[in-house]
Order: sequence, then structure tokens, then C-alpha cells
Amino acid sequence: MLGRESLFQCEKLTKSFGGLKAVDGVDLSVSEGEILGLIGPNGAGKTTLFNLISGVYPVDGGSFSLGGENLTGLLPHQIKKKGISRTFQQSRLILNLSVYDNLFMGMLEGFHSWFWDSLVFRSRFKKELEKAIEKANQLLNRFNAELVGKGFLPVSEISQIDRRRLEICRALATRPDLLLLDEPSAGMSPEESAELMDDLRRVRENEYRQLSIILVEHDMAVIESITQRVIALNYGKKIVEGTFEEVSRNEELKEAYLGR
Amino acid sequence: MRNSLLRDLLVILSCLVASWAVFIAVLLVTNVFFVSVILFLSVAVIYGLNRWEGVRASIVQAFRRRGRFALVCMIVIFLCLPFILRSSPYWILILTLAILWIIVALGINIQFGSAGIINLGAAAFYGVGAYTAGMLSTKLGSPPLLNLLLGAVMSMIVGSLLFIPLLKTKSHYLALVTIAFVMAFHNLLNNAEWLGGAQGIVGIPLMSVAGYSFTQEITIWGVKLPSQANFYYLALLLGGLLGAASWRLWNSWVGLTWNSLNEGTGDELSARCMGVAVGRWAMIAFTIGNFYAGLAGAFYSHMTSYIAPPDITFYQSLLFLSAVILGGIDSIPGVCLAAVLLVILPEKLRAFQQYWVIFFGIILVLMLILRRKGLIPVRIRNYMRDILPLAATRRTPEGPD
Amino acid sequence: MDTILNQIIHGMMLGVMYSLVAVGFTLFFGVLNLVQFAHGEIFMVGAFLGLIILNFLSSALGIENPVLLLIICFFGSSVLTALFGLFFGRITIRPIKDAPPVIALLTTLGAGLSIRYFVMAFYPSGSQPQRFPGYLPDWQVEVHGVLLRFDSLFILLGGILLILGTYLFINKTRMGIAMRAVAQDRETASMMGVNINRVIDTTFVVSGVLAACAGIFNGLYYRQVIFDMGAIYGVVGFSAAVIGGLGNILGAIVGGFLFALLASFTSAFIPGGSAYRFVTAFAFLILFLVLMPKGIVKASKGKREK
Repeated sequence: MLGRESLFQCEKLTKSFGGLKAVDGVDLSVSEGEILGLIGPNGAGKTTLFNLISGVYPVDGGSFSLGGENLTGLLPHQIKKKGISRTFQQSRLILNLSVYDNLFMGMLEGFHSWFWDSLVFRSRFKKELEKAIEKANQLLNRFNAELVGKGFLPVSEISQIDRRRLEICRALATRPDLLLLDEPSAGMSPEESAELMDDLRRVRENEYRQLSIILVEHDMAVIESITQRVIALNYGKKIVEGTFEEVSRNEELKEAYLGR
Repeated sequence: MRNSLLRDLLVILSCLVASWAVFIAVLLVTNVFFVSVILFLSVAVIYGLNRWEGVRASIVQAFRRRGRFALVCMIVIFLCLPFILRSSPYWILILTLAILWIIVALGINIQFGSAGIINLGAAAFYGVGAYTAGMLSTKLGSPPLLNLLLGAVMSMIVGSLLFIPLLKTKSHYLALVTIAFVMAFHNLLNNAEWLGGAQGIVGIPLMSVAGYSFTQEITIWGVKLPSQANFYYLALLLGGLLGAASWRLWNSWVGLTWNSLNEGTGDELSARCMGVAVGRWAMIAFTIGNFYAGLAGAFYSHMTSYIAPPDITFYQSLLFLSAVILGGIDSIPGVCLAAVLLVILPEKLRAFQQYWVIFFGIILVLMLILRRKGLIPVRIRNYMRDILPLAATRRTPEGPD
Repeated sequence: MDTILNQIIHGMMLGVMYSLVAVGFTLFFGVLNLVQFAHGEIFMVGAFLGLIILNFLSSALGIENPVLLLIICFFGSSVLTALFGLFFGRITIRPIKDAPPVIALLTTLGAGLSIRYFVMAFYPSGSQPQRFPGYLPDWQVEVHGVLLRFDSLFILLGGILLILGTYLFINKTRMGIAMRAVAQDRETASMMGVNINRVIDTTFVVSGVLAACAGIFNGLYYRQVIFDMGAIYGVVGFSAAVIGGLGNILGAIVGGFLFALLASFTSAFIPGGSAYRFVTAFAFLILFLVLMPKGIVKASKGKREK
């Protein structure tokens, strides 16, 4: 944490549903190139926090900013433009579209050939398409070289773990500065989680070396091996922050997970 | 290599000739019993071929490899239809109507098939186009060709006005509003004397282009074609252009964007999180779809010289939407086929007119429950393989459809 | 002044009928997240079954006592319509209960169309309005210049009883609680042992009874029924449910009465108004959706996001 710019900050973020405070005055910061783990029992507010930061829910109190710019109150597509992308707990891939199509969805913003180029002279579109396929292949290759050949298969025909990878690729395709990963290992066997850990390390290669990540996870092995710093939430409040070592020794957290 | 080319071409030719022969037979044979027999046999043959792997594979491959040739053949057949049917001008008229329905259905396919926007008021937008053309030509003497454009534009405008307040509402609300819209529009038309009231607008000048009136018979290569052929060819031209536009839009970032915000198959939330301006693109889809419907409606006015409220009902709207559902959601070939069936079948089954609606409703329900994919299910988008040799070689070997 | 009051009475009575149908819509949506577009046709079927029963009782069995006739008519039609609704639900809705709601919307639309035209085709001279016998006495009373007709009061009272009954059912019986549980969260409810199929069945039965009674009320008041009477009621019923907040019974009732009053006033006070009643109803609906997209009375809590 020395000298590195704080890329992302949120201050006293609050969100209530009815009378229930799902997120209660949470302070958080992430530096450039840092991987932050976010843990806590079910219902602690982790996904809600993600929803706040990605603009899905409007904020009830507090604020958050990226690179010094205040993003509070922006809508999801605006937040994406500012550089925050996310994955979801439940897969939100479109099953009957192809692998490439799902990836291209992440790149739509950067495309320039729309109506004229689709309807009349398609040469600009063709070029863009080729570049898009190249970029897609690069991303896919990073995680699983086999996927490259499966680009035109419907997502319904690839394996669950490949779908996870695809979701991460799709989020990466949006060229974010901050990536929010929501329980990527949910529903996976220990072997698959181990593969996923490798994948997560490979995320930050080449042009994504400075990518910051907030990772929500229940699988502590993943948290331990990937993250540099961990924050734990319970009942919407931050209860401890530090390295995995420090956090895992915290009594309050243990109680939260295991009960008294 | 030579053999394979020849074989493919023969396969394509025989398939096309066979299917079109059946089609024309169905049109021209009047005895309902024989028609049913022909239909039954052809469905059985199709089913059988589908099951017989070897034949099926070679047919599918032939069409994929020589797609351009197949397309050219189809166009030739379309152009020749009036010649074949020249002694039955009524059927040429019906086919023209079928093309108009294809146009509307393609528009609805953009709205519902691609973007998931339920429009149960399609007939109203068709009606806006028709009435605009009717009013402009009878009251202001506006030329028919221009009216086509103006009718389409008017539909677009009315559609946008309707859609803007609804950008934030959910799909079932939109369904309700569009139903209410078509019913209210019908109500308005029936009662507004300035729009012709219950009698509608009569005496709309028939289509004419730069002085050439469509009421003349044409003579091509010494063969006399009835005047209906004029309408047919113009409709074919318009349909071809709009169809090609639809196809190209589908095979582009535009089509993909629409798919991404489709609540049924896609996921609006993640589309937003990926930067898609959902409201804007929904509006674009809705508007373009209405353009198609309005154009077809305006053409209809100038074809039948008469437009009245009974043409614009909720039931009509449902028929248009069903073309998309029955044909295959987001599937352009499917939608075209279904639209044609929905025009031709009621005509052939005139004797059972009373029961046609019941039958139609049941078919709709059955398709939705049992075969949601539709007649010709939509295929994976491959951005027209022939422009992407790289992508083509990287594809895995053809699997089952 | 008296005209306004008379219009209000008329509107209240129309409101009862619209509300009964609207409550059905709102139940379907609230409990099953389903837009049941054929509900208007269930209303129509209820009316026709009532007619058939009345005709059968009076001509074949020679029963003449109006009270007896009406009791058997209401009861019989309710039972038969409920059974019909049940059957309808089993074959069209059960197979698609896990599909996206759009599919159910379209399925019920298609099915409703079939039912409507089936009646037109197979009921003797089905395309014509059918005379519905008037068994309600013609008593009228004038109170302070307001004309109170027996049939209006009968329908008003009947409607209130039915709605009260539905409210008690939903809130006080086990099945009602099960329905509310499914409305909140279907998955959890089923994991807690609620039989979803039973809930689907019950929803169809309850709304079927309400619709049948509304249909008979309609027949008694207007002295006629026709095969497409469900079309208007379907759209109005759904709109009323939407305005009231889908899933909210009270809201559906409020919505029903609003629409009815709107229809009455339009017919009465705008010259040529009754011809344009759809246009005004539609404008009203749009205005509402724009200004109050969540409905007048907030849509029931716990609705799934989407």
C-alpha cells in the first residue's frame, strides 16, 4: 500500500431495503493493480455492495469514486464507461448465442460500424469483425486454448467452467480499470476451483497487469492464494480489514461464519 | 471436386423445384381434400428426409456450400411466379398480400424476435400507414410512391410517441398498452367521420409510378400478365430490399445489441452493465419495425383502393405477431415462411372460415408449449461466413442443427 | 346533480363487475407471475354457462321461482367455470410454468382466442347477442332524486360479498397463505412443502368463480351476452389490475372502479362519448403508467426483480 495510487474509493456507502440496512456505512479502497478479497457470511451485503458500485442499485448514503471521479448516482452503462465491469453470481451469459457473440457484447461500445456499414458497404464492418474475433481469441486463449475453436458454438454447449471463464473474458473485453468478480467459484468442485485460481492469476497478464480486482468469494483457498488484502463484512458493516492471515484470525469474523 | 459441385447444384435444384411445385399445386388445386392430401404427403416426406441422416446431411451441406446459387434460383422462381399463375390473377394478388405480410412480420421480428419487445398492436401501425396513404392521396392527391414513404414515416412517429412514455415499463405492461392502443385506434377509426368512419376510405388511387398506372396488363417476352403482376413485382422489390436489410442488420452489431437486451433470451441487466444504452436501442428496434408495418399498410391501400376499420383489429395484430412465434423467433426465413402460411392457409380453407380462428389459436398454443423454436429455428449468427474465410476455417465440423 | 349520482351508481355497479375480473388478473399475476389473457374468456364462459343453466332450468325443468333459479345459476356456473378454469390451467399453464412469462402471455392469448371463437362457432347463432333472461325484479326507488334500481344494488352487494369472501380466503385459510407464500417466493415456498400445482389450481378456481359471477351479473344487468364480451373485459380487467398494482387485490378493486367511473362519465358527459370509450380508457391507462408506474396502491412486496 506504499506509494500506489488509490484507484477506487467508497465512503460510508449505505443501502437500505425497507427497514433493513443491507450495506451500512462501508468504507473501502482499492489501489491500482491490487486484488482485494471481499468475504463474509451469506446476507452480509457483498453482492449488494457490488450492485451499488456497478450502478444497479441507487445509493442511499455515501459515495464512491474511481480515479478521483465521483461515480455516485450514475447508471450501469455510464459506470461501465468509466471503467468498472463485473460478473454476476448467476451466469448471465446468453445461452443460445455463440461464444463469440457473448464476447462481442462486451466490446459493443468500441465498435464504429453500425447502420451504414451493416446495410450498405460492409467492408468496414468486416474489418472490425476480424479484429473483434482476434481480440476474442486472445482472451479465450488466455484461459483455455480449446475455446478458441469453439467460438461459433452456442454457449449452451460448453462446459460450466468454460462458461465461467467466458464470463470473465466478457468482463475483461470491456477494458475495465476495476473488475468486480462475484463468487466465480460458486458451484464448483475443488478441482475446478483450483483451475479457476490459475485462471484468475492469468487474468492479469499483459495489458491487464494493472487491473484492479475486487473478488467476492466463499472459497477461502481462492481468497488466500489470490488476494493481497481482504475485507470482511457482516450485516452490512465492515468488521475487519487486512491480509488474509490477519483477517482469518479475527474472532468476530469466525463467530459470524461459525456461529457462537 | 467437379462431381461435388454438380451434385450440390442438382440437389438444390431438385429440392427447390419440388417444393415450389408443391406450393403451386396447393394454390391452384381447388378440391380441399386433394390439397390436404398433398400437404400431408409433403409434410411426411419432409419429416422422413429429416430423419434419414445421409440425405439430410447432403441437402443441408449443398445449401450451405452453394448458398448463393440457391438464392439466385429462388429469385428466379419468385420472378417467374406470375407467369406460372397468369391465369389465376386472384392468386397473384394473394401472393402480393403475402409479401406485404412478410414485410410486416419482418418488422415485428425486429421488435419481438430480436429485441424482445412485445407489440400486440402491429395492425394499428399497419393501419396508420394505410390511412396516411389513403388520406394523403384522396385529400391532397399525393403520389402513391411518396405515400409509401410517408405512411411508413407516420407509423414511426406514432410508434415513438407511444413508446417514449413506456421506456421504463416492463414487457407485460407494453403488451397491454399495445393491445389497448390497437383497440382504441380501431374505436377511433370507427367513429371519426373525418377518417371515413365505419366505411373507411374509398376510392384510393391505385398504385402508379411516374404515370405508369398499375391497372394495365403487362406483356413480357410476348406473354401477357394480368395487372396484378404489377403490384406483385413492386411488392417483391420492396420486400426484397427490406428483407435484405433485415438480414444484414441481424448479421451485424445492431442485431447483436438487440439480442442483448431481449428480456426473454438475453439479459437486460448485464447488457446495461456492459454499456448498452438499452432504452435507446429498444426505441430504435420499435421504430424500425413500425416503419416496415407502415410501409406495408400504405402499399395495401394503394393496392386495394380501400381501407376500413375491420382491417385493423387486435386479432390482426396477433396474427402478425404469430408469424414470428410460429416461424421461429428471430429467424428471418422462419418468419417469412410463417407469414406466407398465415395468408395462404385461410384462403385455401375458406370453407371452414368459421373454424379457422379456433384452429389458429390451438396451433399457437401447441407451438408455444411443444415447439418453441418455431418452424425454422434461428441459427447461430456467423456473420455471413463467406466474408470471413478465417472464421470459417476455425469453425468446428458441422454438428446437428 | 341527480344525473351525476345516477352515473355514479351505474359506475359503481360496472365497477363491481370490472373489479371481479381485475381481481382475477391480479391473483394470476401476484401468485403465479402470469398474465392470463384468457381470463376475459373465462368471464364470458361463466356468463354463457349461466345462460344455459337458466334456460335449461326454466324450459326443461319448468322451474319458475326466480330466487331458486338464480341460486342454482350462480352456484352451477361458478362450479362449472371453476372446473373449466382448472382444466384450462392444467393443460395450458402447467407445462409452461417455468418458462419466461412472455410465453404464458402469448399462450393464454392464443387459447383465449380459440375459446372465444369456439363459442361463436358452436353455440347456436353464436355470432349474435344472446338474450339473457331478466330474473331480477324491476323495482326502483327514488331517494333524493337518485334512482336506485334493484339490480344495481343486488350486483353491488353481491360483488362486495364475493370480494370479501376472496379477501378472507386469501388471508385466513391455509391455501390462501400458501398462495401468498408462492407470490412472495415460489422456490422457497415449494421447498417448504407448498404444492405449486395445487396453488395453480386454486388460483384458477378462485378467479374462475369471481369471473363467472361477474359474467352472470353482466348478463342480468344488460339482459344479453355475446361471444366477444370477454374481449373488453379482458383488457379493462387487466388495465385495472395494472393501475392498482399487479398482485394487489385492493388495488385491483380500486382500479376496476376507476375505470368504470371513467367509462360512465365519458358516456354521460361527453357528447358522443360512449363511442369513444376505448380511446378515453386507453389515454387514461397511458397517463397512469407514465405517472405511476408502480400502480396506485403499491404493487405487492417481494416481487422478483425483472
